[in-house]
Amino acid sequence: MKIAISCKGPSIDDSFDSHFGRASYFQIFEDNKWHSFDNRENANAAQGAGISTAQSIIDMGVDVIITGSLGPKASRVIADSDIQVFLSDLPSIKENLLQFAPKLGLSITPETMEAKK
Amino acid sequence: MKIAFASGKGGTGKSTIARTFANYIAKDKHVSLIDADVEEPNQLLFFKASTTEASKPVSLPIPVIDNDICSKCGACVKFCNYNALSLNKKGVTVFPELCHACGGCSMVCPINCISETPHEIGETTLAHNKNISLIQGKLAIGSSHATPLIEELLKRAPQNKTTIIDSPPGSACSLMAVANAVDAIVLVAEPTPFGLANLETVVDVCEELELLFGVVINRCNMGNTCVLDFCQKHDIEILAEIPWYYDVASSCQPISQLESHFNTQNNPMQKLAEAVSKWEAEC
Repeated sequence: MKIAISCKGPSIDDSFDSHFGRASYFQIFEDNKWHSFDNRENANAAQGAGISTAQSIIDMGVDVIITGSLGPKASRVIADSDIQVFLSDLPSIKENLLQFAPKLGLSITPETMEAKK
Repeated sequence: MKIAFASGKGGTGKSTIARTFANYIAKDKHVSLIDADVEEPNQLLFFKASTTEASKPVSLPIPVIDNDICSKCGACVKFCNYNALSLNKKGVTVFPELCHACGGCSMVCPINCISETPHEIGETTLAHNKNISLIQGKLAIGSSHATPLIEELLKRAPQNKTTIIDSPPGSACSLMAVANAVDAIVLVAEPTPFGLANLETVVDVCEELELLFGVVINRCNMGNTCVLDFCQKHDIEILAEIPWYYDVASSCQPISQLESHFNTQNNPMQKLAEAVSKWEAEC
């Protein structure tokens, strides 16, 4: 399962970004490993940032998105996929994963999260 | 000759002055007045039309993807610079409001499954009264395609020897659409620091495009001398100065009351007409 969390910076210690299309980075969690996706090209688009970000997320094969809010256009792109979306306002990336992991049937503890990369 | 009335700032009096000037020169010739402020057109409200023609829609060709035969290769999505297309397993989704109708997607599609359909972005309305033909462009609610609408509006405008264009405010794309089609620009500015700051941006545009232009100071009995000083310093011609009148501002009459304040010795519209004739000679 591939989980994408919108983030303000390239590290998982950077804070959660409540924006979806205009988030600079996404922290991707898969098989107990983290990696970072640089979304700045999409985020800086003059128009349709939500659509192009959603497109990148789909192309990456993401299964779950955790973000603050999803605009109407990004929602339309995501709605026709099998991606699950969780809206959150928790300030850190790790807290967000811990919060939603049980709903996804994942058993994640702060320790397993640290043992990645 | 085509003359645009423009300003960096909204509410400086472009429409009022364009309308008053059109009325002034329409005394002895035919004039086309184009309301190109398509996001908020208002000349029709102030125009006593003897005839008004039915509005005509303006559309852009927007792609339609046949998702039954689409191979989902993503070439169109990759090509689109405006993020107007997205691809998921159900096929390609089109976002007409973002599409700039460049036609590139149908050109790059390897199996030709993209056709085009008109997407309405607004309408134009033509009205007449004596010597003035007024054409107005009105952007559809929610549409952001002001530029192609203005370009189409200018094409549909009745061709008269003198055309006056009430430009949209600002110094961005919609002004550019007007600026590309005119011979000269009258910049309307208020004599305030805010008015000056916005005037500077349109002066930059006019200089960059090497256009003939001059400045009309509206509400010249208010504010300070900053616009005057700026124009003197940069050798920009002041075409006319128009005072603010309480009764004009409060009346909102269909026929401009502004002119009733002008006497034959000192009529700003006459000064403007003289400046325009001088431009005509230069062109």
